Amino acid sequence: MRRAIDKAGAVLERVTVALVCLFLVAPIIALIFMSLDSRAYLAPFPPPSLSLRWYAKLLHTDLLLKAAGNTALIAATATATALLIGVPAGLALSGGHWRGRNLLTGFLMSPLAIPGVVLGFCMLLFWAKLQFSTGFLRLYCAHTVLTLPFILRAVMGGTDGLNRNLASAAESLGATPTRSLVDITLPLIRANIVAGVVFAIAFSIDEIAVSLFLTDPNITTLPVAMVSLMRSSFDLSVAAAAVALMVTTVLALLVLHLIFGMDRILGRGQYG
Amino acid sequence: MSTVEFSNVCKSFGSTKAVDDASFFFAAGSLVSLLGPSGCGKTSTLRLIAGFERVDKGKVLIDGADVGALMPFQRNVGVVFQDYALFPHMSVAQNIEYGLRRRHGRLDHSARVREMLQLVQLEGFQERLPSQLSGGQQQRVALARALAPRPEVILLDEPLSALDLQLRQGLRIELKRILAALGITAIVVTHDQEEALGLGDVVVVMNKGRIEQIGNPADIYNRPKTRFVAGFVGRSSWLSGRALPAPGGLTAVCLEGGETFITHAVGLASGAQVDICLRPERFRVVEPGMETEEKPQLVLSGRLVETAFLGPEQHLAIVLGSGKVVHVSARVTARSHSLPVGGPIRVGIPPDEIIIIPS
Repeated sequence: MRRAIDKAGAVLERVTVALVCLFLVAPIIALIFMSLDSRAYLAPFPPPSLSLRWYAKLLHTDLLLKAAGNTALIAATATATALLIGVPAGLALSGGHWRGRNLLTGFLMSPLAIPGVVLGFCMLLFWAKLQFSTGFLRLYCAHTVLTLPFILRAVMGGTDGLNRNLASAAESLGATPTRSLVDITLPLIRANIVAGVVFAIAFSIDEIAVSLFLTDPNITTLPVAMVSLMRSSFDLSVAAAAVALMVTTVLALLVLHLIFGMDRILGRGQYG
Repeated sequence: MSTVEFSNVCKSFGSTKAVDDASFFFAAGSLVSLLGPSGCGKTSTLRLIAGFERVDKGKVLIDGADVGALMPFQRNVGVVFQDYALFPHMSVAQNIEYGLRRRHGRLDHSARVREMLQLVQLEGFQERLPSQLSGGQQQRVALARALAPRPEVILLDEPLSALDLQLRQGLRIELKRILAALGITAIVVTHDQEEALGLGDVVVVMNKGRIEQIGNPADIYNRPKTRFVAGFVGRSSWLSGRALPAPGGLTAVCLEGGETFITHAVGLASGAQVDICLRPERFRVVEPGMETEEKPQLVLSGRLVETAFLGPEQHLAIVLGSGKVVHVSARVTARSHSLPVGGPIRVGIPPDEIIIIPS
């Protein structure tokens, strides 16, 4: 009986892996080949020969290049701001039980739960009412709000897994609460914070639903630009852009993996 | 080295009274055991002294000064936590040095660190991380870390409970040696009565937030003041009786089974109901034909219902005529095996070794 279940489990595992390959990995491989298609027009897969022509074209598509620059700038500034707000907020929210703590946590985490379309539309109305904004300011504020939950969750997850006696021990040894935070708590949740930053940046780079409402002719982000390009003049430089985006993300993760270790970034806290 | 004093301290968490009107005074350099079942308020007492909690009412004094308004880092109190709470990202030496740097600045503390490592016999381990140490070694590092900045008082929360039995007994002696050598005022919280009696010069027994009794270990064991203390510390059998006046200003106690003994105990009102606490190791089996000994004894007769051989001693369970069970631990002699289960047996106990608690 047990043996039969084990066997069925093994088969199920293989089927799952095969399905993941089929639906997740296969399209990516197809995309890579498409981006290397040497033909000057959209033609049936597979390409007869390979070239870098679409990458060359990408480098001459101002819209995409500028959008990529904007995306990088917005991801960097928004994540940095979310970090500045999220770390102290996360520490405050995970320290003790005070009135309104759960309410405030829920409020700050809500961007994860509210559909992007709704959020984007609301923000558009908000800025329209304000009658003052630049495209960058709109996107920067939106991405800060959107990435804050990732930082917050990372910090709170980290401190929840931390032995509270550690901070008490530091204080009994003469450390002020601030000192104990700097010496003990922050170093111990560093890996969690790094993980939060990685996810925040990844989310910001990829974000489209909210950004779609907040871009204007002067400023756009890479995903929004790719979508509009697909609509207006679809060619394979979009595929090239997608591959470039993917490679950038993978490289970033790889660097972090080499520094901190993947299991720490994706999984439990450092000393869980 | 400082005195520690509680004056009518109360502390509640919600509707639970963690510490209920507790007062005590520990002399400088004393080694105190705080003993009680879990939830009795002993850890809260510790946290109040360390400053992790604030009192609701009353005063906490260290060296005569009211420290009620001081934060933990403003008090010079060392703490050894039950789970040690060693800083996992710091080496043994860095852990020990941490308090020195916080209390005395970023000087060269290597001499003091070495001294501490020597004290807890962990020379050569300074570069290890806590995760690379055994439980007993971690416990020593925690002790060294707490002691390094020369605190006025050191608090130890169940310091040995996370260790296995054999290690615990060795470390208890070690701990007592270290604390006595430093002459520091130390307060050890424990729920293990053997540990409490073995470690402390002074034992404080707590129950439900209240202090039941404070005394030296022998007093706590031999002269418990309340039924709780008598029952919690050591093994015991309980009988009930009535106090009656006896000639010469003495008191006679008449047990429910009719046996009577004369006691020197004072303060027993005539006719008062009393609880009788009998320690198993104070009994002797009365061999037939040897009833007249030089000392007067309370002799109880009953039926032997159970024996358990424990090596140097033998545990006997005896049902008295009244139906009450008395536990006796008897020294094993060559004749011990001749005690038949189910047969009649008589055991004697000197009246001075009977604990009488007014009910």
